[in-house]
Amino acid sequence: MIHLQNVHARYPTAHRGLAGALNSISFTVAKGEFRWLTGASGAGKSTLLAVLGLSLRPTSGQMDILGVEPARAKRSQLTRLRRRIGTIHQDYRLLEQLTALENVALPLRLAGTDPRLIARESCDILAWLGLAGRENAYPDQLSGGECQRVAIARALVVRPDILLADEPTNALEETESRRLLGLFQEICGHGTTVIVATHNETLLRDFPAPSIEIAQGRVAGGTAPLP
Amino acid sequence: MKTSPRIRASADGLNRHGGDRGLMAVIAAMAALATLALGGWSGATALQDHWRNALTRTIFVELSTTDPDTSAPDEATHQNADKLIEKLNGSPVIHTVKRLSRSELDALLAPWLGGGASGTLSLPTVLTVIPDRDASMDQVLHTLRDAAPDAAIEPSASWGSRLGLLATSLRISAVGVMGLALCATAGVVMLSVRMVLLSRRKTVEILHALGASDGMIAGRIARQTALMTGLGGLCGALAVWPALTVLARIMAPFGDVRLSGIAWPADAGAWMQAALGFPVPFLELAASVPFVMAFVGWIVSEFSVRLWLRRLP
Repeated sequence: MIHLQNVHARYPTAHRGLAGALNSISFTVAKGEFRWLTGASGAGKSTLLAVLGLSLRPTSGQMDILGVEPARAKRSQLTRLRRRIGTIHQDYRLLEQLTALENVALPLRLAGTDPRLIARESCDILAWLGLAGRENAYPDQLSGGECQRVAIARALVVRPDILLADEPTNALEETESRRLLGLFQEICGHGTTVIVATHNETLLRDFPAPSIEIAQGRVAGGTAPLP
Repeated sequence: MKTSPRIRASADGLNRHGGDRGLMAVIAAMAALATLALGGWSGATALQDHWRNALTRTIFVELSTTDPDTSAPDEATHQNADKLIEKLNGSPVIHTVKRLSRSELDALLAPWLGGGASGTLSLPTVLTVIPDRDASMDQVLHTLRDAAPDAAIEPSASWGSRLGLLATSLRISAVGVMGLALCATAGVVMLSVRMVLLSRRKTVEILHALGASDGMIAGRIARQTALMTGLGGLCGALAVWPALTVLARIMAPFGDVRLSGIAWPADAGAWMQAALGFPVPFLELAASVPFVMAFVGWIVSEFSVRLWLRRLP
């Protein structure tokens, strides 16, 4: 479960100041729920996902992620919590010096998975995402769509309790996008909470689900009940 | 040819490259300096022990000749000397009494009077007295004055203590140089780690976001740094060995009265033997230099990386 209450977040700017990105954000997403995160570019969707993915500390407010309050948690607890959260970034964030397979295997290695299983599970998910035969390719040898799929595979390979996706279909073709959204809804059925940021109206229409709308760093509306 | 999918054991994006040779070279220089200082410290310690045990504890007793017209000690003086030696050998505070032979006296005076001085000058009979280890100098001097009231007695304790102070200052300087080398190593490692973190910032942030613990990231970088500094330390210690061998040869006469000058090895085999012929305690200390460098590299890296990671949420 995810619960945010009056969360504010600011980040340092190039002029040594602090820019306010999120203001008084409150919402709850239950276990196994799918939620769209909508809003115009620059509204604060990516910042909110960074806060939920524990990559950005909120400046104030209360937050509960999978029963852990990050503000009070020890660093070791936060590390364990991060392993339960899969994040798909807009810019993929793949390690250039690793192959597609090694990038996907990374979360499993960090989680201490049996080495014999790591290669098999990583290959399986890459194959499912249509990347069979591309395992040894480096990110600079892959197309944008392929990089996107490697990033998706890396987020999914650990079967996370929470999946956060920032515009995951940007570099995908329509068929692949629909297939991916189908997968997200399927893993929701297995208890994973999924939050997908998008401004793709077609997807929002074709895959109706509760949403949270962000505008100028605030929750401006949505179809989901607020706490 | 298509290769089968494989995950490299070190595939976490944190492998170091580029600046490693620079780091190794600087660490090698520091290790060379530390090894030289260690050699100086060991040498000064050995000389101090030698001077304390041999020189400081040696007393010269001069028995003047009974006939001032003869250049060499006469028969009566010899007999007096023999009686004195016999008497002193029976004393519990005396360890050894020995009369300096004519050649030993010549060697002793050669720097001032040239060779063969005993043949042309009227010189006294000189006895060297080494007191018992447990005897106090006062007791020994008292015994000597009782046994030979007319003899000139010259304890070399004052010179011994001066040389001891010299050796102590050399040892302190050596420890200071070793400390500086270690501090410089720590500083260089800290800078190197910061450069690694700057160049690998994105990788570290990604690994952190994926759930890598501070210990895992710091440990990975620290192990690589320890390997680099350890290798640098080994190269530095080996590189300075020929210089140490030469210095040991130059210092040898200070600790061995039988050597009148520097004895250079005659051939490569003798040089090799000299290079390996250091005392075991020094060899053990020198062998520890790469490990100390590796430890400094490891601990400084761990600390620096963990400190840097505190910036991340």
